[in-house]
Amino acid sequence: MNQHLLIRFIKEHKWLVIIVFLASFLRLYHLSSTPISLNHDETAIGYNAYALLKTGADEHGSFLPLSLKSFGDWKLPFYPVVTIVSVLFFGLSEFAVRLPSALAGIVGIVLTYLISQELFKQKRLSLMIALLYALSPWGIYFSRIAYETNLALSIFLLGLYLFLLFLKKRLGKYLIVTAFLFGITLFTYHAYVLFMPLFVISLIALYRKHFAVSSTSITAATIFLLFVLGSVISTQQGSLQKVSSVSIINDKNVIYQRAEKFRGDKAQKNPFVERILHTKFSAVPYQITQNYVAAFSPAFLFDKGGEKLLHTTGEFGNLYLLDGLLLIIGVAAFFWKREPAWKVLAIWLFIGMIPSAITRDAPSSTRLFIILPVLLIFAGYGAFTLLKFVRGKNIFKEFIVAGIGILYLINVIYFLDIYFTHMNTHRAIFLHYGYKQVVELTKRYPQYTVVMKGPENFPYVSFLFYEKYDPILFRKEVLYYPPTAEGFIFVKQFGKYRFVDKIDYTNLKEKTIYIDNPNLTHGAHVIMLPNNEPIFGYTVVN
Amino acid sequence: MKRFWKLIIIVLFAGLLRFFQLTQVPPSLYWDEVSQGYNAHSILISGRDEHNELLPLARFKAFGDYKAPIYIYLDVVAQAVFGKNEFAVRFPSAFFGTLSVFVAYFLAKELFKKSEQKERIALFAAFFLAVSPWHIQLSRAAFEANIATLFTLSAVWAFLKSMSGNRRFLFLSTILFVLAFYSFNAHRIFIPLLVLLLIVIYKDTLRETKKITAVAVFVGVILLIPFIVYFVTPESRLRFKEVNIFSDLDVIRSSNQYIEEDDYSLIGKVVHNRRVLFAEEYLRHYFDFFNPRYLFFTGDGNPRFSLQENGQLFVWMLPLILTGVYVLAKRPDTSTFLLFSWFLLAPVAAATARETPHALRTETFIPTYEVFGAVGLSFFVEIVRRFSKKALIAGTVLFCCVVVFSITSFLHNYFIHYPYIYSGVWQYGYKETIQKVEKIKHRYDSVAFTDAYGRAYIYILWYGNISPQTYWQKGKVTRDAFGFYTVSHVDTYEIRTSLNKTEDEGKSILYVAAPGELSFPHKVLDSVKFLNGETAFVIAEKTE
Repeated sequence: MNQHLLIRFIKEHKWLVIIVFLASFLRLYHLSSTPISLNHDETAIGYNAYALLKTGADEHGSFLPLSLKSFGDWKLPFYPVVTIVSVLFFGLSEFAVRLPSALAGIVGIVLTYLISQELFKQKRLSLMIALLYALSPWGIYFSRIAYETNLALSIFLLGLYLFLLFLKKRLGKYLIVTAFLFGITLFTYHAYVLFMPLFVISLIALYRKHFAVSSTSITAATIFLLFVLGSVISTQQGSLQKVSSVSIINDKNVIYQRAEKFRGDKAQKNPFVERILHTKFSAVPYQITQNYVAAFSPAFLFDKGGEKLLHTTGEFGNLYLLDGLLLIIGVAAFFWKREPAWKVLAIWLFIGMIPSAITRDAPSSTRLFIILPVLLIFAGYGAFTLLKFVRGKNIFKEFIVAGIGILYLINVIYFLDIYFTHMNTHRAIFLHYGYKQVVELTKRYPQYTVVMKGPENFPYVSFLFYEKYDPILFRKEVLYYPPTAEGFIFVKQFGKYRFVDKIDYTNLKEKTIYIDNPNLTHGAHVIMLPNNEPIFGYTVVN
Repeated sequence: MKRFWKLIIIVLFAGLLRFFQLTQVPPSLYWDEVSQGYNAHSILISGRDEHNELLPLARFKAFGDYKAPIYIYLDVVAQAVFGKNEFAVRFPSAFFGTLSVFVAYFLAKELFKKSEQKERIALFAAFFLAVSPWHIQLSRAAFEANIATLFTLSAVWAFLKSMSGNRRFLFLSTILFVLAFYSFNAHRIFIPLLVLLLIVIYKDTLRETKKITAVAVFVGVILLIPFIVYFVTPESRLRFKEVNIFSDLDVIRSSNQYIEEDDYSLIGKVVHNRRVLFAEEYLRHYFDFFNPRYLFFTGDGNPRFSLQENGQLFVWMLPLILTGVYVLAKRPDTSTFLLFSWFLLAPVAAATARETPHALRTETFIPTYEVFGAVGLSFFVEIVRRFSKKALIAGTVLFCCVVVFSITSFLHNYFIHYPYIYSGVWQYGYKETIQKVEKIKHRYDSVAFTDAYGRAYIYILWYGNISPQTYWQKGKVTRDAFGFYTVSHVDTYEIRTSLNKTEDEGKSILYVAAPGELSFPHKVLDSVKFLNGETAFVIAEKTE
């Protein structure tokens, strides 16, 4: 009976199933080896999940934390909590750390399909959107690295889908689950702490006629408010420091560039005019507007991607070049047809751009990830409009559309080739390659002390991860450097491992491995990047 | 007159913004301006340019960068009227910039002549151009592109006029297009494309009066002959070779490397084909021009074209422009098609160059942004009118506050702060230094002048009042591999890349150096500072 249902489902949704298979392939194929290495945040997430699984507390020993101290950057707990499950099944490995993100990416595609079915009720359109999502460079890149933003997006999408169902079916249980899911996003990714309350308020304002003051709506509101409260409390715990270090509200640099630079020059000036024109109250809003609009910069969307090297393949933007064309057509068609869905998409888009605008490194590929489904919905709408345009059996029109299709295909192949063939070689250094190789090296000398340069690169977490180091033992042994001005804490030593700023080559100890930069003449041996450039040099003293 | 008083006020305001303190902001003439000024001076008194060439038509050799000729000839006129001074060098640009505002009004009116709002749109467009940071900055220095812009605007206006009535305007239009073509290098690509576009749009009307069309084309071709003769010589392509992206060997290198990494598979050969990579590179440069950060917030990275703290356009133009595009897109007609195509063609030439986005080479965007903004604002006015009078007043006041604040802020930064922060970019200090040296140089055998800031010779010619005849006889000019001219001797000046030579023994030499450049014991006689207080030049003599 059950099997019969499954077959019927597959028959009815065969295109969706094909798209999901394609998406799964693109997200799971070589998951543990492409990108070539875990970055420090991934390693830390993995080890904290492991520590939570073994002891119920994180690496620092705080029991069931609302916020993980980790490197002093206060990670949110939900991704590590989900990772506990995959570590339980697959052990502490690269695959286990990345699996939640990859699965979230796949589920996100199905949810986007369902949401666009609710918004447009046109199956072909929804399939088109799901297909674009499955192939999206932005989606693929962030599904294949353990990024909190990707998991948060899928939870948000599920919440939004249930909210749309609530509007249609008017069943209170949907609303309560929505409130719960929206609440969880606050503990999954930092951008949602700002995005979610604003979005919820706008949703309520937009659909105010659909809400009655009833026990369900009050329950839902209470649930969400409890999450907000919890989020605020956990912020007090320490991540306030993180918030103020990434936000530009008090950024000295911005205030200098737009206000103090002018105040300090030697021009003849009127102090009164200066006081009005060159203050932080004019400087900071100007910068925020600039960051906000920068989300639409062609370079960010189609060419280079975000500012951080870890967030791009170096060759590709977050969308395909041809998505630009589809986006323009889509937005225009949306306006011409006055699609009723534009309101909810507009608030999603315009509120989604805020977290990136008020922080440094804008436009940020991770903070703007919230708006990816909106962009793909518009692009899909554009593609759908184009396809409808050729219905008339006009050879010229068919030719144009086929041309665009072929160019799009070339674009996709180009991206996949860059991603799966070239990225591991060209980008290894930005993907934090080499730490696993260092651990493998030290494993060959189990009795030796390890001295490594550069505590600020958090090498300790790679040793913990690949050695599956006992968390209880680690907490007992570890010694830290005093925290930095930004609140980061570097590990000084634990067990047989020492982390130093500079290796003293005049005073080498016996039975020790020294790991340093590759450019030192002392290190007779080196660890190479895949492109044959050295990354670490080491000396073994017997 | 009465009909045009609003326009006259706008144009007067534009003139004020372009002529006020013209010689002090920007603080000094940068080298291209001086080169144009000196070549014009040379033409005026001898009929020949600095290279002793009689009335060049297609181009001026100048530094070896082959400058377009129109600006220099305009400068000849300006110097004949105002004398040999800085004001005369910048006058054509400022004057043509002011005229552009005037012409933009008539062009916008012609584009929207079927609309009831044409008067309002045209006035808004003229106003936006009058206060545009982009246009103000380019109008206040001797930029050739600014001349080309006026010719382009007038040419299109005359063309539209001829299409809708008096066909004789077509001749005027042809002549103006040719002038624009001769005014600036980027227009040598842009103008043919724009003309082609107009021909495609108005092919039916042009066909109706075949004779006039044929004669106009004939006139155009005749006027282009000097250029065609020049175009077949290799020197015409020197400058283009130097700046264009297609001679970039890195692209070919990375193409080969990627294909190798793909084991020479077919897919690898297709997607990493160097033609694909060049196409991609071109698109990348093309889209650079639409970067909102560049357009609305930081402007061109070169401080000569932007304050760095202001966009090329005001931020409040963004919603107006988007609205304008939306309004136009909803009513597709010939003007909309022309404007949109113009907009997309504007960066086609500039995108072939390595430095993008480049505000100067894309002055071709004028007047599209201004017209889009004007249509948008006019649309808002229409909407607000439908509300009560109170709403109208409140909306207007609020909008005006934002606009006035942002314009004031820009003008304040530009006139008060900009010269002080960026005087170095404008080669500030040459004038002051040379004037000081002129007073004391008779005490020495020769002057050793540093080339640390580049192209010192042209400043010595201009501010040292050295006549072209003397320069032709006594100047020592060599040409380097890239085609640039290097001048090592001018009159008693010797221009050196390194001042620390030993053969100076026994001679009395006055040294003009950048700070820290002199490694031997010396006595500083005088120094010249940039406006930000850092030392630009030291004037010194050797001590034993």
